[in-house]
Amino acid sequence: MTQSRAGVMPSYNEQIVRMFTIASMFWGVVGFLVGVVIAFQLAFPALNLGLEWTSFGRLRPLHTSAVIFAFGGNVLLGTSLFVVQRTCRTALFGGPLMAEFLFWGYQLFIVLAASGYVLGITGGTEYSEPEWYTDLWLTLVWVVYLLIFLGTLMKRKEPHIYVANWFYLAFIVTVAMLHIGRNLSMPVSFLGTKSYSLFAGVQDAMLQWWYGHNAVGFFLTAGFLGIMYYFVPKQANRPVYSYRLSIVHFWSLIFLYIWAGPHHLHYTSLPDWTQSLGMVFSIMLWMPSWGGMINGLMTLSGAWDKLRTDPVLRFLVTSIGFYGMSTFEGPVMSIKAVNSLSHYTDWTIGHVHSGALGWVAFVSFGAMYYMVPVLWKRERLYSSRLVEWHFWIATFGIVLYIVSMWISGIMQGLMWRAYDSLGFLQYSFVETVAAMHPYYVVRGFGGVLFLIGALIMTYNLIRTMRGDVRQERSIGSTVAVAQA
Amino acid sequence: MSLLDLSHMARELWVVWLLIIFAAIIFHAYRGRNKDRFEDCAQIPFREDSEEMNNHG
Repeated sequence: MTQSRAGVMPSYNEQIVRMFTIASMFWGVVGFLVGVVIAFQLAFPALNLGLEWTSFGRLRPLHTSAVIFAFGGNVLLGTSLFVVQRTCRTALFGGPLMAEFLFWGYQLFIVLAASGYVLGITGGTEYSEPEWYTDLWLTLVWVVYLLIFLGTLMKRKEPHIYVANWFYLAFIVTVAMLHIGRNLSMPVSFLGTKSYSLFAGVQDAMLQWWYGHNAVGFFLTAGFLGIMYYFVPKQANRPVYSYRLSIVHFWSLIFLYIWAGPHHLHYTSLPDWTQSLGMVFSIMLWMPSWGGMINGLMTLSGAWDKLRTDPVLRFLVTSIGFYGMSTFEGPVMSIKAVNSLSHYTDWTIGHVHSGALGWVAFVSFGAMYYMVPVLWKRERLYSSRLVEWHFWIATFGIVLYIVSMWISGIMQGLMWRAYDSLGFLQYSFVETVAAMHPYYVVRGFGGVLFLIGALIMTYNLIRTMRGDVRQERSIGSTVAVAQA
Repeated sequence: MSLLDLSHMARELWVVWLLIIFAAIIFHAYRGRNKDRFEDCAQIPFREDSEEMNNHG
């Protein structure tokens, strides 16, 4: 890089990424905590407290929105602004004011949505619960986000747009399309909170799962793949295994994901051909799933030993493993015969959390551990040992969570379809609920471990921000030698 | 056959058109001529560092 270019280079807007990083830490802990609360509410209904504001029905969307949109959203916004500046080698378009509007506007959206759920103001459709006034506000904020991101891409100093930015852009554009499409609705009154969807019946259901599944596909997958394609090479200090494969990975994901929504509506009044179409496209999703996983994991080839000494890299690599596993499981569950057993059971919850905890949260943790020392100009993290503790506690928590939900879900599905010799259903519904109790307790305990891990991370990152360094033996070779 | 019929038929074959576009993308990505170019693209995340060192001394 020539001196002259460095001289005129405007410095990156890192303040905004720091703000998003702190918000991610905060909302992560909030979201996981509410998750633990509702997990134990299912095991011990008394924890609903008999109050409408703390009932499961209101806290559940609070949990899902807090982890997906508040934690995941802040991670995506923060990392995307971090990555786009560095891979385009230019400062953010629109200056610090526009970026600050994006930050505070997005936090306001979260608060508006969350307060609505607790007070019983909800559109009632999964993952798009916010009512019309919150939807309009988010639309405005999101357009500003798109402008900042596109503007930065357009004034880039690097001729080629790095693949991570493609994934981020696909995430931003598709979420805008989904958000507007799903939330076309008519408010009942100008000052009231209630609105009704423009669609009804099976069309509304199809629109809902076009939205819902692509929220998974483009928010929780494409966006976080953007994180993978930047932070895994950076942390491993080697370029991505195959840039050519990443191009095919991107386009196969874009071409296929948008069609997979109908697999949420198997055996409903949705036309049969639409269900089959959704199933076929879901199975074809194995292609980007495995292409992406191979590309991420093989980036480590020749450097696998780093996993032994670098717990941050371990988070990133494990997340890719979970990405591969959960996106293998998803297409299996979309097969109609499998779905007839798995649908409406806890198996789905287990599947979602292997993706959400193992993939989305782990890749986010890895990115945050990477970013904080860079953003606060620290030599290294406060403690690598604490990262290792976080890793193992959280991994154990995930294993408890998904295994208990697999067992509970398959048991639930089998009990629902069991007939006795006279052709009557063998179990009443409440018997299936009672049978699931021990698994609910195990699941809640898994959630507690995951939350403890996040608290350890928060402590570690705050100490790092303050510039503290813990005196500790380094992980890896020296320890192995000392023990030998 | 009118132009309208033709456009109707072309629309029914949407999956074929998309497949052709996708095949073209794979061809573009794996074409021998583009090998060096894409290997160079993979280095983009590592170029910022020298830049940063200049910025922050």
